[in-house]
Amino acid sequence: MKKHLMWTYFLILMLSICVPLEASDEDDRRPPVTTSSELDGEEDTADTVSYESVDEEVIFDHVEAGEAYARLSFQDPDALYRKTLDLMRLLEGRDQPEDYLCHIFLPESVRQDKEILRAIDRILTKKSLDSPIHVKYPLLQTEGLAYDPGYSFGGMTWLKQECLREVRFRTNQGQPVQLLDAGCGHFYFTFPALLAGATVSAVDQHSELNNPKFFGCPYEDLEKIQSTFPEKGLREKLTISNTDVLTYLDGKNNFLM
Amino acid sequence: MSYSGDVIHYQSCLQASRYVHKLYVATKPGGMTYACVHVPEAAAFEVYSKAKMAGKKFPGYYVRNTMTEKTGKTKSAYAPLDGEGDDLSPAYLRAGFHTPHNSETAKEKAKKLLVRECQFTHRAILGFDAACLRTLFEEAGFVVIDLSYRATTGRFPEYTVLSADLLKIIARVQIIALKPL
Repeated sequence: MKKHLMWTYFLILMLSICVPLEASDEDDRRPPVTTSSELDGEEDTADTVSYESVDEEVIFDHVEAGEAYARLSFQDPDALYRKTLDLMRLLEGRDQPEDYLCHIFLPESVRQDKEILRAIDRILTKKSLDSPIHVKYPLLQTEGLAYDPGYSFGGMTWLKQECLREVRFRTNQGQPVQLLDAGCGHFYFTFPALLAGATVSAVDQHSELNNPKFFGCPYEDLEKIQSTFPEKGLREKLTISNTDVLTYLDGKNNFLM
Repeated sequence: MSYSGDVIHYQSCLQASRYVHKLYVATKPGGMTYACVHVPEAAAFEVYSKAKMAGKKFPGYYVRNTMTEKTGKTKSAYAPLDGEGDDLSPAYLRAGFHTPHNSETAKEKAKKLLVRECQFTHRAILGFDAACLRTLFEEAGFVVIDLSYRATTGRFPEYTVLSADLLKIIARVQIIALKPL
């Protein structure tokens, strides 16, 4: 009888090993292994590259965001409540707007306005385009289509959060912040930095930079957000330069603060 | 303050040094700089580690030669580039196949391009490790406040010894530096 039972257990064990169980929700939330070349977002002919995963950078940022939140809870008296709320949102799944996390860097008046927050979310959660741009290579005297430079992804990383935190800290202290967003791409970092209180010089080099359609957000959203900053318009605080960063920095001394 | 997100690795070694120096000059004392850059590819780890052992300043500077057969099979070979004085950025050195955007996915486009028996692409890549990035910023005069790797599983400290397996999950190396008063 005992032998019979042991065989049954053995069979069940073997079955559980051999038959793949349906992935649980928890597995879905686990960050995938993504190489840096995949994150690059460039078209690559290598068959080992999973093209579907190029926009997945936002997923693992949840992990970092959680860490950053734990730290912020000690610095901001309101953070504990928001931390709990946000962690709940993070645990709910990947399609929650991870950029909600950067709301904490907004001025208090803006944070109260749900419509404005939704408009900001629309900006920040907008995906980057998976399309090539027309690039001139002056040194090689040729031109062509390329996926780089300037096409980085949106999302909120630990480094961006640290930078925004510093902007917010300095502006709260009454210090004006002049920030250079080098390689601004679709302005994914430019707008959060503007909203956090910085005056931003966004620099990148591609032909579509000054095209309104290129902006990472609809203009009406920008207008809506701008209306909450009546004293200093966002547009006045933003300078866009279509040049390479080296040329842009030529002759500029002690202007970034 | 400045934020250089995924921008330094698009420049050549010489340009990267120049850029960080210019950034230092442009920043007021007490100003901060934030930057994140690519790390070398996991597949190029051998080339990277040899260059690292040889004491190169930019061990992650190499070229990826890729041969794609009509069947879709791809083979890549890596070779180091000795580019400390190189003034041509990897973006200029790249040669790839790109088509105008339409509703096709990148994979479909890549398949369509395989009209010949095989095709070659050569792409220069400048990947950084933490030591290389630290040198770049410290040489310019910045004081490093935080330096770490950003991986799919969280942050790894600066002193992490890179391996081919680790490079599969590390996406960026990131730095926070200060211009001293």
